[in-house]
Amino acid sequence: MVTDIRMPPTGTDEGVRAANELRSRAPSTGVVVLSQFVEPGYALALLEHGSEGRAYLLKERVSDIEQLRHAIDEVARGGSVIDSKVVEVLVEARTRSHESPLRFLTPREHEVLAGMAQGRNNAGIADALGLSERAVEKHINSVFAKLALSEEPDSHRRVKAVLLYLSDQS
Amino acid sequence: MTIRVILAEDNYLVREGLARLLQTQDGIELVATCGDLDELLSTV
Repeated sequence: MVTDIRMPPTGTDEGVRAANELRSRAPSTGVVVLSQFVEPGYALALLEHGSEGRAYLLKERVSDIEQLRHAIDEVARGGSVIDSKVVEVLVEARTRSHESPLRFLTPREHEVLAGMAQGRNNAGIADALGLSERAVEKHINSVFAKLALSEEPDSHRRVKAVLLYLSDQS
Repeated sequence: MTIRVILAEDNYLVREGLARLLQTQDGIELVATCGDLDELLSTV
């Protein structure tokens, strides 16, 4: 199967879904995904049941039918081909999360920070997590300290903390 | 040994272009082309 990722009906992950369906329906069938964009989430979803017989190529980087032919031959015999640009993006994402200051936060501190990213005030976060507002404030102060946010007005630190959280999510 | 291929691509121009390229390949048999998920899953 040579497939794009985004297709009707939803234009999201149809190709990956079809490939994963094939794992049970037709286990010896290889799949070459030809994608318009590097989409690490979809690459991971494609490979989460193993990389055997799976290829992920970027359309813009296939400049010769031989490259596609090679990928088809490879997956037909159970091998895999992943475009090096995709590998680069996946490794970079992993490295970033390993170096992220968020790795020092406790699970509870993550929850509080997520609450801040959702635009909740402290009362709202307390309510959502079943904590007292005082406890939420303590967690927030700990988050600020761990993220090394300097002595600025609280509102600035809050925004910076949320920005750090959101950039880590991507 | 001939490899049988199903092509799934919703963009008409890309689909036709790819189909023709694949048809030039010895050892590859283009069995079907599909434009959406339902078509693809029922063809497989």
